[in-house]
Amino acid sequence: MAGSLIKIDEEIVSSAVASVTLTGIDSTYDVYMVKLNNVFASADDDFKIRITKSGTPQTDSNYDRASKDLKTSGTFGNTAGTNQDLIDFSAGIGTSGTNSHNAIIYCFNFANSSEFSFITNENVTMRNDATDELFGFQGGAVHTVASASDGLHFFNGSGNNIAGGTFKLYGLVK
Amino acid sequence: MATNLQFIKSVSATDINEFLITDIFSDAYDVYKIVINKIDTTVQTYNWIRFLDSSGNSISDSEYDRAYLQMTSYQAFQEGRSTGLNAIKDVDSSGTNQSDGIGNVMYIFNPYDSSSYTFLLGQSSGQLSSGLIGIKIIGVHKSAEQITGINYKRGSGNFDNVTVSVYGVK
Repeated sequence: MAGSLIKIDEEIVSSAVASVTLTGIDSTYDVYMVKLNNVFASADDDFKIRITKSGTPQTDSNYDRASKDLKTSGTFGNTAGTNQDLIDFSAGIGTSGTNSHNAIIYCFNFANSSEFSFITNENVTMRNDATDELFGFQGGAVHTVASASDGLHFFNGSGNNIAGGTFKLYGLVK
Repeated sequence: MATNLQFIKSVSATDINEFLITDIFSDAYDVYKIVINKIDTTVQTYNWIRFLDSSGNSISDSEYDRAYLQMTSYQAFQEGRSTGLNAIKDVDSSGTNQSDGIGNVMYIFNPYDSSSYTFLLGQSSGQLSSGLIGIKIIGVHKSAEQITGINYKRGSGNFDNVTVSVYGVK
């Protein structure tokens, strides 16, 4: 049925891991959705994304991104960058379900080798344990390399483990 | 092929200020999609969400934080932010003309997990007397307890007609 979601890949973290990779994006569907819930770290950290090609995270400096930062502490920010080596995906995650990261991401054009790979990103978190502030990005990002991509790689910027969380990749039925 | 977006319940109500959508959250899903595609109102105001506890009671304690970006066609965009509210206020807004309608999609994260907070991510579009209003909102219920449903409420006046549908994202 059009509009339905078909699960492609999932990773449920119940013991700490350095990173999580969801793969399986191909030309079966035009658009894919990634759902993250209750993701937290072994220590306060900052959550990041890279796009994968043939399952390998891309570490080149070809990521552009921009977002509006919703938060309860003050005026909303605009966060943007070009030619970065990752996608900054959060303003911090904490160490339990009360300070977890939750997100809906859509992936566009990933399987098309003649197009850039785009994502839209909406997320909500209680930032990290130290700040304990409601925070969320509303924005998008692109990997400006015209070649096929097949997934997303999630990790913490300061190297702390991902201690918990559920990561799922879906295809959006045409 | 079985879909992983699974319909749970649809509830319609008429001539009422608030109503409960009960027994929609369970251990079968950890993320839910709430779709509101019909609201008829004759009083222009914002609408709120409260969560229902494990006994089905609406939680009105000051345990909600939320932040929203309000994008309108008739004035400068506005930001809103509050902590310690008794509801996630201003998830959407509807006006005085019944035909104007509204659209709202919200995701609810981790409601049934008693060890985590319940988070909300939403976006809506409605028509007021001045023009279009769109709202992007994030919210949290800052109490680690089991949530079983939602309470959808008008800031003032009644819903003349309203329909809310709930899906689980498996």
